[in-house]
Amino acid sequence: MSADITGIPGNQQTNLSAIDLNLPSKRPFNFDLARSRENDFAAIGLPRMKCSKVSVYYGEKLAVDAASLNIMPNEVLALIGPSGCGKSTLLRCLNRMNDTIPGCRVSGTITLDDQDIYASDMDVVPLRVRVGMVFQKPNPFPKSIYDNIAMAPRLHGLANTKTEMDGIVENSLRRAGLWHEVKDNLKQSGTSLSGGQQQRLCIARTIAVNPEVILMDEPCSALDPIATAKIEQLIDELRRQYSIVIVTHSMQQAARVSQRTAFFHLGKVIETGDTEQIFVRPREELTERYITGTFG
Amino acid sequence: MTNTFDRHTIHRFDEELQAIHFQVLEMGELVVNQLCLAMESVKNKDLTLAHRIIDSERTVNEMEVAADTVVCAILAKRCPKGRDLRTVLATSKIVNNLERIGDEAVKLANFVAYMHLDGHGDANNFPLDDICRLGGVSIGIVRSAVGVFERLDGEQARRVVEFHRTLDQQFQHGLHHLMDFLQAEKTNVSNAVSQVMMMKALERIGDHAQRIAELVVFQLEGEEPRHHTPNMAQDFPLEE
Repeated sequence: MSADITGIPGNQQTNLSAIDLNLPSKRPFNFDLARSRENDFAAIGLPRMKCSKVSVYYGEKLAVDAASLNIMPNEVLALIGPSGCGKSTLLRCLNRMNDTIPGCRVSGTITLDDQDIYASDMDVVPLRVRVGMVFQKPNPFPKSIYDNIAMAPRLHGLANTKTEMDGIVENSLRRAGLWHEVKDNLKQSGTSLSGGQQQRLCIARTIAVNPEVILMDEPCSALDPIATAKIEQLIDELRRQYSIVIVTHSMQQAARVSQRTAFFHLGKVIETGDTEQIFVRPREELTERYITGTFG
Repeated sequence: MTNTFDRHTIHRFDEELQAIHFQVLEMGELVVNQLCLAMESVKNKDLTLAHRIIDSERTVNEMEVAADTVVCAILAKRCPKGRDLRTVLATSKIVNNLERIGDEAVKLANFVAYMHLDGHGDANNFPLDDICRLGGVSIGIVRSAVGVFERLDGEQARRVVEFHRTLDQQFQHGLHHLMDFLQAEKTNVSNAVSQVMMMKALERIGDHAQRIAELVVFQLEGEEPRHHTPNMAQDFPLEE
């Protein structure tokens, strides 16, 4: 990429250093991001993330009750269960999104490549680089498409030159399957895109910092079937590179996109297994009743 | 609060599953009846009855098409999972096996029609004991298979699968008798071949009934007992 793909006047500088915004944490990174990605966890099939007896309380209310799960490399893990069963709460624990909720308390252990993410010296900013998140409702920044993607890499100093940044933007949009639709309008505001395009923009924004794990909290619930299909196709492609954890209320979607599924009920993990086994021969009666729609 | 009724939240789905179950049972009863009549026509050399069975093939075929249509509709509308998915898949395959049993019954009737077309009957005057015995076992096994589907009785279904071995033995026994008879007597070869084919049809009927019982096990337990041959080595020892 040699051309200025933003097309923004005055955007011709060749050296973009990390922009110092008001980060939630001013602590320096406590691990080397580049090195951490080169570890052997993926290569030898060890879990990327491990949750051991994780309990989450909102004040006195127990939302997740001693949940244990492994998140394997290059797999999509679907979390299913009725509303209020704790699946989104557990998902948000995986990159400490619950830290911002007053009265939220987490016990147990969650590790990312054997590092305790709730250790006192863990900085949440690099953690959230490594464990990115896509939300239920597309939430692009009210900025250009280019800036939506470029913001996080700028923040984390991932590009030294304008050319490098252009490369990151293009690559992220390509991997999110959005490049051909927006390449001529990168100046356009991200909020002017359709719902499906906005969600893919958010996914592109997440993968721009090259995370290891992507968390998705009902990413298609606000989308039409065509946009949903595109996101599902994208999830399948992204799996080759990342571990993905998806919370979904659509069992069809869980069956279509995931390799393993965990069923939650009243804060407990009732059953975890290969998606095919869960949806054809569940071991637990409660799982059977949930997937067949015989409880409610 | 969670309650755990056995009914689906969408009651219409229960009705659809129940309807297809009864539809298959009805087809099963018709096929058992057809098989009984076919054996009657063999035993009594009843050409008229044989023609009635041949004519009734259309009804079984129509029932198969109707059941398949319902199965397609359930798959498209309800996207069943777990036990429901197994029920729909098993039902679809059971319907297919019943239709094949119906075909074999018609085949028996066709042989009766062929052998007695000229009004003289079997030129060999071969004793029908073996065929009738084989027929009796076949009817029993098909009836049992339909019964286990009706009651969804996994334990009994496993017994039906085991019982199928008796039919195989009967088939081998009958075949040896026929061969002995052919060697000893002057025979009409075409009629002898027809009798072999009839025995083979009855043996195939047993195979389909066994498959129905296996599908009931799959429906209930999610396990496929198909192609399990634990006693194979025992039956055919490699060394003395």
